[in-house]
Amino acid sequence: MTYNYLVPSILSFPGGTGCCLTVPWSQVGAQLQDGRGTVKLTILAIHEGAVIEARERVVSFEDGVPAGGDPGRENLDAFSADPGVEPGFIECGVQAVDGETSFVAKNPLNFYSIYATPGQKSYFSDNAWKYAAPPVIQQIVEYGRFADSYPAVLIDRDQDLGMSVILINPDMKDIICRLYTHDGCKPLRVRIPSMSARRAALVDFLEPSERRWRGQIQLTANNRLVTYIVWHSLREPAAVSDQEHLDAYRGERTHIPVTLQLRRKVGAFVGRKGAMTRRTPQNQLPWWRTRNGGSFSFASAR
Amino acid sequence: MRKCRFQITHTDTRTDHLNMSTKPSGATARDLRGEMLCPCVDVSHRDFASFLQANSALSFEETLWKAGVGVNCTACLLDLEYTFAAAGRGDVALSGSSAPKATVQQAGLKSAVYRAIDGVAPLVSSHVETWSPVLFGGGIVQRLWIANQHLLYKRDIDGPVPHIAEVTIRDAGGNVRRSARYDVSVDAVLDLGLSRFLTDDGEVPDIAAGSVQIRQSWAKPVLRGTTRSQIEIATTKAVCAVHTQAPGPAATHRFTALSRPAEERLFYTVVNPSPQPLTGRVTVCGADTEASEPIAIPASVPWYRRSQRQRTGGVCLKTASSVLPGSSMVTTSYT
Repeated sequence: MTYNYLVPSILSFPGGTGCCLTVPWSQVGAQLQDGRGTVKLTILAIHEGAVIEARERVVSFEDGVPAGGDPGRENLDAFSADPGVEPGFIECGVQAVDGETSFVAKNPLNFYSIYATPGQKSYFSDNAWKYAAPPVIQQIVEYGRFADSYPAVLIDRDQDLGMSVILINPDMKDIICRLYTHDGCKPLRVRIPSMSARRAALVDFLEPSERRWRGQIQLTANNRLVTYIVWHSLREPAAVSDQEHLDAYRGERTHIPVTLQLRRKVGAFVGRKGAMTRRTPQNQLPWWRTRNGGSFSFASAR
Repeated sequence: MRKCRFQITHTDTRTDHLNMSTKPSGATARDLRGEMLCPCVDVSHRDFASFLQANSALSFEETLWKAGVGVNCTACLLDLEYTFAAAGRGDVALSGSSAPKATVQQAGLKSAVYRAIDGVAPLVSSHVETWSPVLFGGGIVQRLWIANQHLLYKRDIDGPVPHIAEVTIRDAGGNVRRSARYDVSVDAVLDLGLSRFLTDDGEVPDIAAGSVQIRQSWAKPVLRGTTRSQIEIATTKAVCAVHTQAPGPAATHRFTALSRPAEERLFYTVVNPSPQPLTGRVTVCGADTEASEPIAIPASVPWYRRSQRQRTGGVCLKTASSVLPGSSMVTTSYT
């Protein structure tokens, strides 16, 4: 089966910051049939139902790489001078531009965007599938309802530490979301208009006299949302130190058939030898170069 | 009731959604969602599966628009999303027993055989193993969080069961500094400070790194729920967090960062979770310059270094002609 598009992805676009999208063109090339074709990347910044910034880039591929070299990064700054506004969101999609081009898979581009404001710490955040995300699909199979959670919430008025949840509704109907805490605080109810985003301040769970709260939250909604959690100053909410996606209330089974486990182990072993890896210009390495798995992370300190 | 915009090919099994509550007691949630998918336009799972088969090139939004489903009250949008994703895998049969025969055939004989074997095989715990760097020094406190909670607003579904987290903390030399097994009971939370295990004498460096390995298992079959482990890094000025990660086989990693020396320090960590030493190169690229140097990491120890300009030599920090004035781009690849 081939496709003429990749599943679009969504990322948040808070006010008062610029957003740099490091588009992974190699992932486009790896999904193109025969590694060649012409695609159109569309990036839309959307705020309160309106497109406020748009980028389009048409790129031709040969042998899995852009024919004219890496087209570079996309920088969006519609909000950079306006920290007080409700957040918006960015939708990023890739489509084939002609009948000659097709994709063998439709996985969305998976990358980290960089949010930066002069004078403040920058932070990274990865994008979310607009639809068909495997954890959400599994969740609907098992629970029949959309549910996200986050286990490490900290609000501290004395240390000026706040957290908020960014709720993104990329669809055409309003969505009602409810947020719950593990200790039974009064739920927060937030309406997210269509094609809009809202920021739910978790300090609203606290009583006026409460100085500090540690706990876990869960949220549900009458439809699927894209959610992020942000760490910020309570006094200056636009001063964000980090952003991370919430985690779906997981529907995966903790136990699997022993025969499936055996197949996975055999697959992993063969995969380490390189025999099952689809060769692209980016991963054409002999098996002895791939036998040691590596885990990689990046951080910045203020 | 409005008429569906596409050709309905199977009208015999359609169920009026108003009759769904009359199904026999004991029906599963999936049964209750049953044949009807979008009551607004009277479309069943079977209709939608047929439509997807005939229009496999459409995106999700195009599918909704062309089929006319999920765009009125939108209550079925998640079910549509599920069916759409399942169709992409060739297993729309999951959406009900009325799936077209051709779709079942697409799943293939091999899958059917595997499914049959798996159906009778005994279950074993899948043992989720993840890793993370552990930072300490300079006022940094890193913690591990694992929650094991019910779905707070819906406790009548299969709840969590006690689960076990085996946590091993290593220093930069690969020496195990702490290894313990924690039982995380239902509705409990594991909150474990990690940084404190990386110093003996209380001496706090400017910045240093170790690693943590988390192996999770469950006493009996259940759904994972909230048990994905998260790390939290707190400084005197801010907090950030991220989930832990299973190691992958990729031989090359890349990331892009903004180099803004006046505003922040950047550093990266590389953790080698394998039992063999890891060697490779770190390459730092500017707009038209790159510098590369070898690294060697012993087995199962973290390796870290700061991206200081004077240590990485010929790194070119060019001013970006971007919306982020005064910033520069640095791309680093690791092989």
